[in-house]
Amino acid sequence: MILQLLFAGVITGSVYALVAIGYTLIYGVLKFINFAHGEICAVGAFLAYSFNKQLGVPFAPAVLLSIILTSLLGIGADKIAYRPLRRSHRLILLISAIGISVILRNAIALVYGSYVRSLRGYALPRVYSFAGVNFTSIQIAIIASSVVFMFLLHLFLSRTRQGRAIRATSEDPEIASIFGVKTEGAISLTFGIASGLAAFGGIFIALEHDLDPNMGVMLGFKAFTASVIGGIGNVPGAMLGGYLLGLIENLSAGYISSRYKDAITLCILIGMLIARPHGLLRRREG
Amino acid sequence: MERVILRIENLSESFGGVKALDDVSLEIEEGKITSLIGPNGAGKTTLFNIITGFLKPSSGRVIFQGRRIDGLSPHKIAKLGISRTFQENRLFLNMTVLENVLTAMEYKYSETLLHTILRTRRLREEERERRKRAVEILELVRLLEKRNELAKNLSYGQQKLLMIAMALSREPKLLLHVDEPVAGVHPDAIKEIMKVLRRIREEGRSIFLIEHNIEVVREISDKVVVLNGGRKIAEGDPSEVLNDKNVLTGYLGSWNLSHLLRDKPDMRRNPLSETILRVEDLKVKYDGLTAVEGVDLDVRKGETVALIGPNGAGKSTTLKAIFGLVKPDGGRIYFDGREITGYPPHEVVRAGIGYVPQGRRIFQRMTVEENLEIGGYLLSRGKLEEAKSRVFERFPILKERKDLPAGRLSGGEQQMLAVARALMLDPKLILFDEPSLGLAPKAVDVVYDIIGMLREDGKSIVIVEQNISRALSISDRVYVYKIGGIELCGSAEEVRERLSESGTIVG
Amino acid sequence: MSYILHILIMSGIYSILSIGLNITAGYTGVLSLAHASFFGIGAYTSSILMKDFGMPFLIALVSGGCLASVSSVAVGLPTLRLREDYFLIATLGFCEIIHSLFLNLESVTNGPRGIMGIPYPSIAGYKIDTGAEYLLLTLVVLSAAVFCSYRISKTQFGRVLKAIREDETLALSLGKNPVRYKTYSLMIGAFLAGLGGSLYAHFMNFIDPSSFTLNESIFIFCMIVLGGLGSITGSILGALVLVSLPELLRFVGLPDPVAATLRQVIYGVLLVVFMIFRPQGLLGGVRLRWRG
Repeated sequence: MILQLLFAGVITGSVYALVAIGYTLIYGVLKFINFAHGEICAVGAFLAYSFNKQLGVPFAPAVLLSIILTSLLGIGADKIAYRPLRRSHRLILLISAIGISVILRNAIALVYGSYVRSLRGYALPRVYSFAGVNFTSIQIAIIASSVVFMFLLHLFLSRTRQGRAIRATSEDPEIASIFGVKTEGAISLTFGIASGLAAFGGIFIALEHDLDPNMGVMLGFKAFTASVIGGIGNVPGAMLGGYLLGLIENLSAGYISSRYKDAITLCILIGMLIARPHGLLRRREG
Repeated sequence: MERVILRIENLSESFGGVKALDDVSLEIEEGKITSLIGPNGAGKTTLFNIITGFLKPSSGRVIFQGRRIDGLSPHKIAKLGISRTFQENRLFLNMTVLENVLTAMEYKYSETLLHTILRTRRLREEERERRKRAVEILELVRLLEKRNELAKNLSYGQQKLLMIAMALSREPKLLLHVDEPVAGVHPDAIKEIMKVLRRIREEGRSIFLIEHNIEVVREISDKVVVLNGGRKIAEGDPSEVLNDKNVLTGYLGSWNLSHLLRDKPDMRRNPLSETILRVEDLKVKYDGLTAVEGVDLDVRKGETVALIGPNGAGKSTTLKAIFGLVKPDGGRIYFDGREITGYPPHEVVRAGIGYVPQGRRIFQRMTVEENLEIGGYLLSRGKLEEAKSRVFERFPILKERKDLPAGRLSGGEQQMLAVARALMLDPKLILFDEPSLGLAPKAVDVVYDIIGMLREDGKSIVIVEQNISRALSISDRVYVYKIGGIELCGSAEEVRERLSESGTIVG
Repeated sequence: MSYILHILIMSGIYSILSIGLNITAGYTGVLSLAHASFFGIGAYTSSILMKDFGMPFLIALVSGGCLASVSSVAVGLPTLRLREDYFLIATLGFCEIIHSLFLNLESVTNGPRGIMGIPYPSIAGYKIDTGAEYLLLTLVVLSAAVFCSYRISKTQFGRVLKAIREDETLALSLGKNPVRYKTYSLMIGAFLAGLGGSLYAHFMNFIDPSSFTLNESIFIFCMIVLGGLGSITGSILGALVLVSLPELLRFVGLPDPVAATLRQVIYGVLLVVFMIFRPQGLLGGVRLRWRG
């Protein structure tokens, strides 16, 4: 049983990691927790649903379209609701972020109503078995693609010019702009990437569970917890935190109770914030 | 026998490899005014922050009235009887002057919920007393008539007095006050503050004062402590300390510089005659206050020009205005034949000026090579590689360390990286803002060797420097600043003579 | 009971909630999304005490407030020392958890079916069961809330709260302990929310978990944003406007669930628009200092 739980933990962990990276990236450039990030995941999932189930677009292109649109939405949200507040008091920015999350969540509910919707196929997936663990090809695909995305992100951030621009903007926007880095462009790009990853996270969740307009709330909360575990602002930390949280959550659901899963996450968050608010990985400070 | 109210024992503080304070010990005597002086980056503010609980020391102890207080939180220390002001004017801007003082005070009943809601007699008495005392204090600082004015509407000097009033209203046993030099503040305001400080001393309180104006230090201090590079270099009577050779040569500049310079190789040359940078009648304001005014300076091609003078005089501001980090409120700037007044930094960089900021400001979490790549952000792929090889050739040490995160380099190496980064676009003119700040003397040697190298390459250089001997050793011409503008200028030789004649102390 | 009376009573109850949140978020700058949870805890406590244990109304009322206040310490104690955004998300989590507790602790709360037949309040034997009487009761509690808020605002206690909101570093250097005051303001806000919850429960005679969700917290939040952070009259005005608004929408003829969701979207837009264009609210509450 433990192996099955660990496997489940890795799947959930992959999702949390993808979304947590988004929180951390945005925090890096803007030094604020984007409250609306969880809702972006939901948007991604629902858009994929619309393309695939309502418009009949094949799965892979539907996902791609969803990612693109969601990324654009993320960039748009920043331009409309956060950019005018770049120099405002932090509380004002937070309130605006709350507003965006409310708009997104309820817009989804408005458009899609309360019917139960699902992104899953009609046929039951084939279940394979190995070393006592049951798994489907979809689950393997989720884990594999998550790893691939994280790797690609790592390459992007460390090898490309724009990636460096984002990192420089996170560290010292004033000096970065001296050398010609367009900080607003870097911020928009960050939102685009974070939102794209969030869309993946949402879609992956939707492959295993039904779609729900409120899915973003707890997902966002948990992914946030994951990024805190790894140290907010630290991308590898977000990945680590995501997997750790996924594992802990599934193990406790299996051995303690699945009903109080969420409460356990909250306790972990509070515990982390009290004991080690800077996360498990110490960030290298110069 | 003087009573010691605050004792600092072997205090050290490090921030990620930089030693801000190094084994500092000193004593503040009760009922006296002790001044703390020293150049920028000497650790004065760090010391204040540790005493008041905003920072935890890496090692050492702070003992207040016999009780150890290092590591306590700021509000607990405030409650023990230590008050402070801040370098920047910190006030509750949206409250009135009177409200600011009332809020600052210490209360027993008025800060508890029960008494507040029930409006008990004790609360009302306490409020009455406090209000009376607040009025007294406002009268002392001459702000009584402004008591219903919002704090944000006060002038800079008035805000400073209000800050002192707030700190005083807590009836502190020890007041830590930071006096910042600002251009455009009326000399009467300075007298006003001195008067207030004296009154506070008369009340039996102790004052620990960070001061930049040597005249003020001379006039009101009972004792002077000098900090430089995180170390205490002198402590004692003002007349002794201010004439102490170590203090003067290290920080205050002096008429004894020549014996230092004789040991340094002659690095001065004759410049070419073309002007590469001209600044005309520059004026810059911050928050309505004039930081600099009437600044005229010239840099000829291949020349090294130094800007020296006291803290807050406007040297860095001048540099920032040239580079586009602040917008000038008047005047013009010409570079290499074009006007660049008001150009944003990335345009200035494109035009051919490089900038090495104060405190280096390299990207600590990015590697050495990546830092350079940001320096060359505007270059195309091919040109970027060229620039990198060029720079690595110049600085082989950086090439060795190119994959290390910049934060792991030593102080001198980081400064080298900052310079290398500025050189990526092959600028004709390079601006250095306090290159020796916060560096150990050996590291400073390294930096100045680099500057020497750049001179040999024919670059034009402007350098803002607190350390007079260094500045004079490397420059062709020097501009000496006073608060708010330029006092005199001339060749390094001339300036040295003028300084020793007039006995002007620059710091 | 007349329609207008109903709206007035609800406005009054929500005013109590918004005044409470105004003390927490408006005066002290502590942004919290847990307010609906305190509302709910007050409602459930009061209902259960009166219905199942036969306690007199006044005790149920005050107990509702007290239990809400105590629970606010549970979320505040570990998290108030942290930065605002962390605290905000922690309160979000708290809100969701309390909501799921309401849904899952069936033995206590009767789960999703809710509690029915909550008795009307009675004071000293006199039963309050008409609209006018309930309005009076609500106004009495509201006046007490306004009074407390006013007293706080005009005294040193209130000044310290505002000082902490404006410049925590400066407040620290002046001997004020921010965590202590933030906790107090959270507790006061929660207490008032609990009182409001009790009044709500005994007015509607029925409560269920769906009234105490994150959406509800945001609803209350919008009231103080609309009215102006830090303004007492603003909080009341905000409550009045936002309680009446759905009634107006009803006249437009949209089906209820759509109207409810549309309302939420409007609240979201309201928050964003006000933050960008008029952060001080309609009545010009506090002007938060710009940074940088």
